[in-house]
Amino acid sequence: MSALQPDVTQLLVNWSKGDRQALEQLTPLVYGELRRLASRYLRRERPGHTLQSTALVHEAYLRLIDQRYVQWQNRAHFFGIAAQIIRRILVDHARAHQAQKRGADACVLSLDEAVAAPVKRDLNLVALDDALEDLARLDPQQSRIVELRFFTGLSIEETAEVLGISPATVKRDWVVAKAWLHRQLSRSAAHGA
Amino acid sequence: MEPERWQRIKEVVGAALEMDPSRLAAYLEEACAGDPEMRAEVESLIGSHEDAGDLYESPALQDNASAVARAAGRLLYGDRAGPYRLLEQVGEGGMGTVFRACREGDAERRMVAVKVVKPGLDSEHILRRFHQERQILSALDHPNIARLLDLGVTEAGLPYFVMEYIAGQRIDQYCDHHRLSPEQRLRLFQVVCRAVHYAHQKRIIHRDIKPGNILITPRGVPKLLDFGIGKILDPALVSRTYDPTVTMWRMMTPEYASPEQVQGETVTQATDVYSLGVLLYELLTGHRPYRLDRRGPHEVARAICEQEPERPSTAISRTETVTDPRSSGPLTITLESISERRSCEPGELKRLIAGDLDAIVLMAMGKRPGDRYATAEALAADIDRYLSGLPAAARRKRPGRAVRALLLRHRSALRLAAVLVVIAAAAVLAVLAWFRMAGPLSTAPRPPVGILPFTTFPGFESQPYFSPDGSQVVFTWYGENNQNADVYVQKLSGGGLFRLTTNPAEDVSPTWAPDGQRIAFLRLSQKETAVFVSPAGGGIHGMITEVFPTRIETTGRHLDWSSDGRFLAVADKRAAEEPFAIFLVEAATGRKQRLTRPPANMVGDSGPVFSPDGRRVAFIRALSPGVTDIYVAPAAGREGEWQARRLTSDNRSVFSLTWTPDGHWIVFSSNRTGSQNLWRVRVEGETGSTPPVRLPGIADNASEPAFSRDGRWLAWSQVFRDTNIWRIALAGRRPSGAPREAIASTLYDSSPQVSPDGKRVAFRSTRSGTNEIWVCDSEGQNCAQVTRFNGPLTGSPRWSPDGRWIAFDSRPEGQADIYVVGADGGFPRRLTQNPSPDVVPSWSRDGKWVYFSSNRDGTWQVWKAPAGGGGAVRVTSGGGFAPLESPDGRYVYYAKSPTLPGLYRQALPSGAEALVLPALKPGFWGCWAVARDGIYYIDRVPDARDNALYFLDPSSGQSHRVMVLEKPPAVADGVLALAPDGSYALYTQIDQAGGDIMLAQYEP
Repeated sequence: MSALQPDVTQLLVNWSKGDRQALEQLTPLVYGELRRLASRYLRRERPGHTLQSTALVHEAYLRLIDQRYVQWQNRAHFFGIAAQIIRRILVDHARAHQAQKRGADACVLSLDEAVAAPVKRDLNLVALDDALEDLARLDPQQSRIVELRFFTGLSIEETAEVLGISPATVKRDWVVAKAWLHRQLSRSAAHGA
Repeated sequence: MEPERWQRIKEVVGAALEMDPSRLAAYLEEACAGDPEMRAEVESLIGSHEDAGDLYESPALQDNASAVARAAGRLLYGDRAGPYRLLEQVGEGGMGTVFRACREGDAERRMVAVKVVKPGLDSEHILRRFHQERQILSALDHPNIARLLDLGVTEAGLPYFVMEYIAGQRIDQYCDHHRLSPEQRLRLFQVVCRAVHYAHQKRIIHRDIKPGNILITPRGVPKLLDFGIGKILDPALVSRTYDPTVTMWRMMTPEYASPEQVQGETVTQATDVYSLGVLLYELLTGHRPYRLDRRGPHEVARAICEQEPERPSTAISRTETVTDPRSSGPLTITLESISERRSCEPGELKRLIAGDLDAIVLMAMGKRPGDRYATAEALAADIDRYLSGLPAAARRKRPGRAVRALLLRHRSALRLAAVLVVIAAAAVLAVLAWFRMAGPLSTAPRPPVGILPFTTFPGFESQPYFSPDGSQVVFTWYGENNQNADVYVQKLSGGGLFRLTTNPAEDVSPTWAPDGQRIAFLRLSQKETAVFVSPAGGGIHGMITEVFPTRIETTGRHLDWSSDGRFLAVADKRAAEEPFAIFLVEAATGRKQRLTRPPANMVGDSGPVFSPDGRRVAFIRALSPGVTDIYVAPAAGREGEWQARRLTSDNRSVFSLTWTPDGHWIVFSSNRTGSQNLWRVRVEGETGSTPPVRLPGIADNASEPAFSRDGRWLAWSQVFRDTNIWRIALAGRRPSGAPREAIASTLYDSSPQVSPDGKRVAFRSTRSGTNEIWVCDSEGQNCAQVTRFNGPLTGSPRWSPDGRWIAFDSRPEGQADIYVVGADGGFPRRLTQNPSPDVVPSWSRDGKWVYFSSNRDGTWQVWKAPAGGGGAVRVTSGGGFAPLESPDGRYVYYAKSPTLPGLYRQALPSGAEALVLPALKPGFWGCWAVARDGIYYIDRVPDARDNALYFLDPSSGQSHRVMVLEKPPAVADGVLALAPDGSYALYTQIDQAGGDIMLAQYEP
């Protein structure tokens, strides 16, 4: 247990009271912990195993927060921060990779082989991130639901708990948000953006 | 849109999506009454919802865990270094931490590598030195050296270097991973030597050459990192107080340091030659040169200065336990493991290294600078001599141990003697060289002086062809999204990409007219294939003539101008049943004349290329698909066929030809030893008298070669394709959990088949360098190579019901036949001997028969032969391919041919045929597997854009989608396999694929 812990707990408490600076200090700490845990997961697991993102955030929470001092709502705050951070990491990563060569869809084959003209199922995270910004202007709650569900992998129930709304609302908002985002992405793809 | 309005729309869409579809219309009518705009919006969102499917249901983090992990040092160093945004940590060394980064505000978001120097070094000093060196470093411009771009200081006061970003693998790991043979390693190493020599000529010494500083890009191009940084960060110059040994220990990998570095003496070019020697030692032997009990700084330093390195050929027999850099666990290296990673038998490896290579390595590692090769180029040149079968200079120079001991006291005398020996050797070489010049082998191509990528767009770029003045290259590109082939032109100096064609048809195989004014290409549309000519600068494309489609126009070269610009050579035929022949088309009139007359019953001729003097045409003659040889015929008149001469006679696949500008050689791409590579064969001389050899210095997976007229440049397309075998657990015809990679390498892994006991998997892999059958356990571990054909395409493994044997197809003599090998290896037994292709076997459930597909009757049919050997019996009469008996032995399932749709079955023994699965796509003959209760298959349905795994319930005739495939399947031999108990399926998917155009530069 490191000396960091009371700090994170305190920062979280401060942030939940509306202290903006606390968030700025929290972010790198949570970031670091997520990263550390993620590398450990990757080392421990055989290649190809998927990382359970929810488990990762839970573990980060347990390690960083002293349970005695925080109320359960703070867990929700924590997940909220973690979701934002994960989104940022993934979108940065996607952006960086966009610039690089991408795995291509078709390939040249020898005469001995034939290939289906394949269409890759690939979400453009950068475009998704932009669309999500637009959605936040229209409906901030829906945008946060996407962040928690898509980027962090929380269930409907967990998302409801974090946002303090009913699972039925989460479910409906999520379904409509997906439709809206998908339409935005299809449009931007069609315009070659 | 106003948020308030959105709330209303959201509510309506949300309700509509939860509603029973039968009530939907009425609901929308009511909810959107009087607001048609809203109704349109709602309907559009409902449409998007259906379209999206489950696209967003898998959390993004799961696919990107490593990205999170590698975001590492940003926490420590912050998000940026000056104007550079640090994206992820890619390495950590003695001097600093390396990040992938991009410059803020760079619209193209070009990647750079930023190395942030570790705290504790004198940054002021470093900066001053950098500015002194800047001029020299900016002059360092070489395709195999990563450029140093910039330098600055972070907010925290740490100096950082900005370098060209190279995505690659360390040279030692790359060699092991790809199981490069000693010769391939030597060729790669020579490229490194020549890059070092280039820098030496600019008076820049690297000072820290080691595997970690040499990366090999996915296209096989070596790149040296950190050139110039060594001097700036030299411990002797940077630290104010230092113990050379200890500082060295901290800053460098000490075992690559030369004696003079360890002793803090002057560093020269010879220092880099020494480190190159250590590198070569390790690439060849897999061991470090000194045997040490302890590897403390002083022990290593002493060994470097005093200990004689063990001979490489002796060192390979060492058994040593080291730390595995990947798992951090212990790793035992043995002669066997070393040899296997070099695609060699242990005895063979020993013999290869003993003698000349021993001498070359030890000479490079001489204790005194003067004992070593004078330059890195001399080292590379001595390897050239070794590779061309001449005695290495090192072997003559290096005296025996006794002589050496005697002469140690008379060092200057020895020097003189050595010099005399070298002069004598040089004289012998000169005479030899003269003889060779005079002989028929005069213009053997030398290795290139440099290799660089010409295009690196997403997707496939291919079919390069130089403009006559050599300043531009025309090529085919499928566009960012790999949708459609068009013709593009780019300057050799880079930049200025110009798109020549935009037609929705595929425009391929471009070729430049000798006058430089026109470009011809083939246009493939649904209806026809035609030759087009366009002004080279763009403009109206005119059709010259239609030709019969060969269906292979998208790879290789299929069109060429005669040197007077009057004719275009192309493959064509007059009727479907004829073989293809080479025709000359008059560019002005479209009139065709026949040049070759291949015998009937063969696939025929393709890929014509004119010789530089325009008097001959080389082409590819295919007996059957993949069984080809190179021919040369006179370009004029009707006598062509009479005088057509065969240059190769080994029936291996040849894909694309070009002439060397001197007209003496044909350079071609072929997969004769596994992967697609460039080869050359002599045009003159008797057929088969000079067998083809690899073109030196060009990496694997190269095809479509083309020379510039002056011979200074060779362009080719470098194709990479990584397919892996994935596993999905199944429960009740549904996936249980997420798919995971089961058998993976960076090479081609495919055709999995699970053993009858479910414990092992047989598959095809190119991980040994050639296509072979491998077996591993069901977790993808403990892989063992079963066949060793070392060349021909070998695939379609199928287990015998008792799990003791594997049947497969291979083509060691050109024509495919069925073979059987023990599941634990051994010598394969040939089961069929027919001159027509016999492929894709499988066993009857009682183990007595082996089914296979053969076109010995002129059409593809299922045949079966007794497993113990004997005459084959035909099973189907209306067409059959890729047979498989059902688990209960009541039916045999099969496709009709490699190119026809549908899955059929025939009842045993009655022979009644039924169409089971009309939906099976043409070419998907390896994409189905029979379970006890139905059929799994891979399909792409028009309204869902994805390839997916489906299950067909034969009792109802209904299919349902089991899961969507993340990436396209590698539709080849046996993509899909099922565990015997149905608990999981294996499938092969193309995880990455692409093609780039590369350039090699030759000395004029």
